[in-house]
Amino acid sequence: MDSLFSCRNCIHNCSQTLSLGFGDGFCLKHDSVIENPYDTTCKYLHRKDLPYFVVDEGVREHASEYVFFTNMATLSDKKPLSLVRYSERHVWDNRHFSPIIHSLSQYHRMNPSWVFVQNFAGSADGIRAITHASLVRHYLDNCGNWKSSYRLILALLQEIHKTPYIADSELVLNEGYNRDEIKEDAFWEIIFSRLSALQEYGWHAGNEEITWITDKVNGSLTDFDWNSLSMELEDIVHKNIDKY
Amino acid sequence: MGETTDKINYFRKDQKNGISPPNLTMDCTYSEHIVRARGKRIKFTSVSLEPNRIRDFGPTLYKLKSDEVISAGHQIVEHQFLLNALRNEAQNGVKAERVRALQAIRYAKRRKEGIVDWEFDISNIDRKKIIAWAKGQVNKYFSRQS
Repeated sequence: MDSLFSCRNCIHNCSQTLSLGFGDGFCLKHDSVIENPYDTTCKYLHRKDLPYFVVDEGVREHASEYVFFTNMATLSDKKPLSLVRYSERHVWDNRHFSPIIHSLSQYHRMNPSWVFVQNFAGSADGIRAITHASLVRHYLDNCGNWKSSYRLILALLQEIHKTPYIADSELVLNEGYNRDEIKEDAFWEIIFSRLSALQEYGWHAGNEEITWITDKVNGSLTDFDWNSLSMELEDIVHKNIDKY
Repeated sequence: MGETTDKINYFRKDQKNGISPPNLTMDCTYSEHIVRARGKRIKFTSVSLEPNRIRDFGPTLYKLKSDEVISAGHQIVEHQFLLNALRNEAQNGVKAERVRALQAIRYAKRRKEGIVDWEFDISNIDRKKIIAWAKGQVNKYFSRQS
């Protein structure tokens, strides 16, 4: 079982990462609650941690392993899973209400869906930040053409240098790792997902500069120095936003 | 590849019936392996300086027999050497290789990862049977701990 191929690392499960977002997830692709996102996957996996086009060979191989499953399946032993529709009953039975999952379960009822996506823009909260970046990527994946996601990308650009706040209670604590390590991982998962969203937009738009925006930032990204990186990103965005 | 001494122990959690075999025909870079860019099974085997850090593949703990690996002509890419190689790729690479190297640094640090680069002679092995053959070979270099 390789967690990089789990629903936790998939953009269609918007509100979680490998380190962030405790409990159930919700899949926009299957319109289903994900009861064990660490051990769930499907053929539509679209990795959150990297732009699609730099890991496409591995993702295609994964899709071929799950091609004959109608819905989701377990990652550990490839057993089919039934869809779990979100409902008040489900919340009641599980004694746990998640406002973000409640919200995401309404996604397909919103028309147009970009209205729903833009409502997540501009939040400093880590869960909402990862949800916003993932929703933009999900929309990009499904929209008519790249121009229809232009405004959504502008919103993402304006928050790309802002520091997300991560609550300890939202961390996924794993044996053998300390809280600070997990918190740092969660932080970079959000930053890389935002960068990946921009890069995927660049790919759709045929814009080489945005596709490889990671080549424009200097040592701060390699050193994982967020203070310097956020300033560099802010500078790049301000100088280039008209071109985008 | 980096200094290997018998003082450094490497571990990996994997299946009860043994170590998941590599695909010795699938060549790739360290960063491609770590981020699984070319699939889940390629020619390397990941190991960790800590027993609990690599556990994606199963519950059973194995320890790498480092001395035997080196004696047999295989290479252990030590954790620090691996990080340096990835940093170099992230600093000097461009486009996709840079992007993959950046994430690979995070994952390798998190997992305290090293890599075994197998140097088996596979010239006479039937390609269709190579994974099954590799399973028998690589398991000789691990001892079960739990």
